[in-house]
Amino acid sequence: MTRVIIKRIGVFVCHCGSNIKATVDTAAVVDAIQSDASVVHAAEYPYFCAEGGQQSIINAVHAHALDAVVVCACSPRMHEATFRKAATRAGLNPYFVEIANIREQNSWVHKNKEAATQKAVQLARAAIAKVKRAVPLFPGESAVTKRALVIGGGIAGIQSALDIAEAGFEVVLVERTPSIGGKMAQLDKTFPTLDCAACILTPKMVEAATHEHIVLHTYTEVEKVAGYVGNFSVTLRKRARNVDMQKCTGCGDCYAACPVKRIPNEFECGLSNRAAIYVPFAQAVPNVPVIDRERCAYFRSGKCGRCAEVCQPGAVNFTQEDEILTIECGIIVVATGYQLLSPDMFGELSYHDSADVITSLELERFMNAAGPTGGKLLRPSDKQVPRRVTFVQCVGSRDTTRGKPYCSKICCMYTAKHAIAIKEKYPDSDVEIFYIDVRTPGKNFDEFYRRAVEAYGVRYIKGQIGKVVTTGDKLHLQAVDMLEGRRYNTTTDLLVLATAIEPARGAKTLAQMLNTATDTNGFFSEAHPKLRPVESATAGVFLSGACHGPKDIPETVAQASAAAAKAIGVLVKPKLVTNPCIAQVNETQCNGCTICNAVCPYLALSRDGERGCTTVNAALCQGCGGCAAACPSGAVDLLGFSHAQIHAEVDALCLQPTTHANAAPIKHTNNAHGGTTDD
Amino acid sequence: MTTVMIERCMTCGRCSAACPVAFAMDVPPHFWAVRVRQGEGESLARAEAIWSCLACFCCAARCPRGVRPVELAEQARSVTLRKENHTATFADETVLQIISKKSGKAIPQQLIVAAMRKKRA
Repeated sequence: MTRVIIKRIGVFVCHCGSNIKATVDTAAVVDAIQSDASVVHAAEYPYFCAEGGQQSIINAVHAHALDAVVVCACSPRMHEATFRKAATRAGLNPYFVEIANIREQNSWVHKNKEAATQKAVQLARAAIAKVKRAVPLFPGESAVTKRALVIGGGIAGIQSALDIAEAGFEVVLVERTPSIGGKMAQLDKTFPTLDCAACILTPKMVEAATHEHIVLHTYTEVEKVAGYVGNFSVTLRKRARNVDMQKCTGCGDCYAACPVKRIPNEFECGLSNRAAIYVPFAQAVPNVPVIDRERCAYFRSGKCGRCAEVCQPGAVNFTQEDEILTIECGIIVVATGYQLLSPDMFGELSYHDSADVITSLELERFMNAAGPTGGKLLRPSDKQVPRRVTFVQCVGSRDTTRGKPYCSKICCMYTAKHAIAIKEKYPDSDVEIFYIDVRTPGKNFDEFYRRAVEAYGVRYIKGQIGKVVTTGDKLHLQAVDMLEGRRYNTTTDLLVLATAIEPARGAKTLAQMLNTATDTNGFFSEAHPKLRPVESATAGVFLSGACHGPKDIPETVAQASAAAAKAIGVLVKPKLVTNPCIAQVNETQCNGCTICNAVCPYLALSRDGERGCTTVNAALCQGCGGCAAACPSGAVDLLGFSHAQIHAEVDALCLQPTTHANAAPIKHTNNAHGGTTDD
Repeated sequence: MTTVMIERCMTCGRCSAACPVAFAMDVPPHFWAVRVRQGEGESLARAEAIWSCLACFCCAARCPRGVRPVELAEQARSVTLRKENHTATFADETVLQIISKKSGKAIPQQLIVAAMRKKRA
């Protein structure tokens, strides 16, 4: 590694408009740091990130023959790349740029201008001390596997898969359940246009299944993820269907013949039953049944096999076992969606005590022509059409004590949709909705809600239900009408709960496998809430749909396409530029103890048996620095964050009194950390 | 001033919907936090509702935001009693008589139970 002695440093103090300048006396910072003999140029400017600002840095590099640059500005996460590019344009190695974060870590969090100015000076001195020990670094290259993996086969995953496949890349679409389609396949109509959900979804499901570039794996789960952007290696468990996908014609003779018939159908929210061999719904893709081994009489007792007897093509295969597949792919799209919060915590609403208290998703199935009642809204208890239907919103949403603190976003609109649908089908019925706030931001959303009130006579009551008691065939509601300011007790025939939505089961485990972050509620976190909304914090992992937070269908589809566009942006690249800030082992100091190998989360370190020391796989290393901290003999250094640099920063912060700018830096008496020093 | 986190109230009404005596109150519980937040704690202290409150804690149990309206009633009762120089503790007979007089009703049994429970705790 070339060692460049850095003697001519330029320091650039940014105002960030008033973001920094209002709290930090930038002129004083410029004055103070010039006492350092290595600082041959110091300047301030309103916005160094702007074109004029960057040009002034480039000009200064030329004019003062600078060999390193320190920018006192915002977080390096914001503009480090900007200033590194500017340095490259000026002819410097980009790693001779250090950022002193005097915005997020200083001006934004302090009020006292004098103290903040002093802190800015100290942070600048630390950055100067660090850059003095910088070495030039050169990024490497890695290949890109031209294949995408999409996890989750709901509308989000289907859309992302189709968009990536249309761009000409191979896509592997993985779905946990026996069919793709997700939650949207369960819906009756969609707001605010009242399109039939199946009519717009099923063509997409078929397209995804038949697309020449899409390989579909249903009844399959992700078991393990290894690798990094461009070169992921994902292990899938394709569960045994016990039905041969190639031979099966989808005739349905098997489930007609199956004697085990009283199993609650998950797709129908348990409102109707299925057999032990089943397809979840009529339009399932693939239209191939699956045997529920836990319920199947053959698997439980070895006696039965009726399905195999009736199957003409001989597709039923009891000996089939789970298959383990390894998929090499360049990017991963997460589209794992959501599930409904269980109303268990809300005993006062009697969900478990009364058959006539149902969730909104159950209502979708009742309203659906393909549902358990053929589209007739019949009370579960007596199979009669309810004369009055009552909805209650925010069950578990906006609830910091028993539910979720967030707004589930879609409930106001789907409840209005349900109300309109019921009024359309049964004009004589009475529909009332208990709400806290009606939230309808979205194109044509408020018009839709007002139509429910004005054209359909749906009664909205600001208030909540405190208690539900079943008497005879009626539900007695103890509620409150907030606008009247009084108790409102009423009876109803059917109560529908708009329960909160939460991340799908297993989202957290998947996030851990992908090494990416989830928020406090378990939804996947985006890399930046405004500027990188569909990328996760892990390079090459993109987010699509409700796995990222509650979303309606148009928003999900938009995000799915955005994630696909970002994914294609990676897949089209011939090579990826790798981060040169990775671990480096000083082989003369390494004694091969392998402590570092054990702490590495990316499996980038391994022991070279012949030489008796650890070696770094540069392609796998993500530069986390865990190994550098763990190494007992100080043999591992993180390039760009070497021990010498970190120690110099700490010394600059701790050992130099702010009033004595020229105090001599204290040398380490025991420089056991493998860093070079030019003190 | 109150230790109840009144600013968390989003006026959903679940307290009043849950309260077993809200039907008989002049000011039902969902108004309480709002009143105090708007600087009208005095009017809450003058309301009959605070003497109807059974201290059953149903409102606190059902509140989705962790507001405890029951404690506002309790505090309003204490403030009123102290202003009238009643040094007696809540569970004392004299206090119960005062409550009875103020509400013009027989003392709800649950209030006596709640008061006894509090005194013993």
